[in-house]
Amino acid sequence: MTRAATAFDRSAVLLVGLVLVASGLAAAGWQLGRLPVASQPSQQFSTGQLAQWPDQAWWPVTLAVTGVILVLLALRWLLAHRPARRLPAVTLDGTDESGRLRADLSAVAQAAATALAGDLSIRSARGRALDDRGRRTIELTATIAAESRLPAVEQATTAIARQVHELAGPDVAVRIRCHSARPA
Amino acid sequence: VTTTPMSTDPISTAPMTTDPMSTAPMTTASTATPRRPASAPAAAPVAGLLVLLVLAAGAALIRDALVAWDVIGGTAWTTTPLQNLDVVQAQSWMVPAGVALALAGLALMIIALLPRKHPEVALGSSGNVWLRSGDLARLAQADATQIAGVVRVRAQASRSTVRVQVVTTAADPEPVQEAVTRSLTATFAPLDPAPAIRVRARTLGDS
Repeated sequence: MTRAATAFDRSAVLLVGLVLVASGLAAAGWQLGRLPVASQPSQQFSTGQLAQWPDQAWWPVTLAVTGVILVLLALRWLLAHRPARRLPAVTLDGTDESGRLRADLSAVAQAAATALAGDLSIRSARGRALDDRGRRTIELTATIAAESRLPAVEQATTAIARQVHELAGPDVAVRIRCHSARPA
Repeated sequence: VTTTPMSTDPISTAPMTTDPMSTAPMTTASTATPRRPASAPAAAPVAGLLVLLVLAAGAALIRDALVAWDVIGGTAWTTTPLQNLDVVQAQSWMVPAGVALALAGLALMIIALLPRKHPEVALGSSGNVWLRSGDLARLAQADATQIAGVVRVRAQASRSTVRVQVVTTAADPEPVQEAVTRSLTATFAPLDPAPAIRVRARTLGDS
């Protein structure tokens, strides 16, 4: 999920919260006669005008346009929550007029995972390349045995991180998340 | 423009081995550090629910437009309540309902602003390697089980504290408690920050 999607989620929830607080306070204030527009609970508002709306020619058009806008907004919002998108290949140092040197980050991630899984302290590993809150990141998820020694795990993972940096360049961050298997 | 084999086989020429004694130069502060692992914000599931509500509202409005144009049969959902309204006036339920609504809104506002949780703890100081704090309990259990005299282990862990209860066959649980504490302290020393270790030992049969 991108930072923009997270920010939109938060803003939408905040806005709905504000609207609920405002309408809740307005409803209670109305009954208590504390609203500036209704100083008496018995004060009535005529909705006669409102009841005429469905008979107007513009009504169905307004409904359809609003409905389509809401559906499109919801679909766009849903799309923003799809899993982090794949990263394009990075251009490596050494690229010049004679040719481009590029690294496919997903392939680098998978290769690094395979290499990491080869270490004795690691049971299995998988890798992916993602845009994590605006930072290009190769993320490896490793499962370690509960009996593993953390210094050995640290040594293996740090070595892999170093190699990925050498391959993909210093601008690509490397994150290795370790999960422990259940104790045997 | 030519492309190197890098695009199809990224490791053909790279020393992608796990040999920790690799002669590659150490990377330093010039490399990008990853962002700290974080759970999805608490607002995300609520936002998911809002998406569905917006989608349902949009579909309902489109349906009503089609009903108004006589494309499909039925009664418009939005029209009937509007036409039934004539005069609105404060009702007796508005105070309790309004207060409940305002409290729900306040809860949503708090949820919207809650910071993300960071359930993982760093292994080493590089910021590259992370361990789920829930997994510390598993590591602690495996570690304590290997101490001589320990027959049963229960472990709980948060990011800052590992709590372990062990049952021992030794008549005096004190030395076992110390041994387990020493071992766990050494085990979790590579974590940054290292969690506090709390161990309680009791002799098998004692309550």
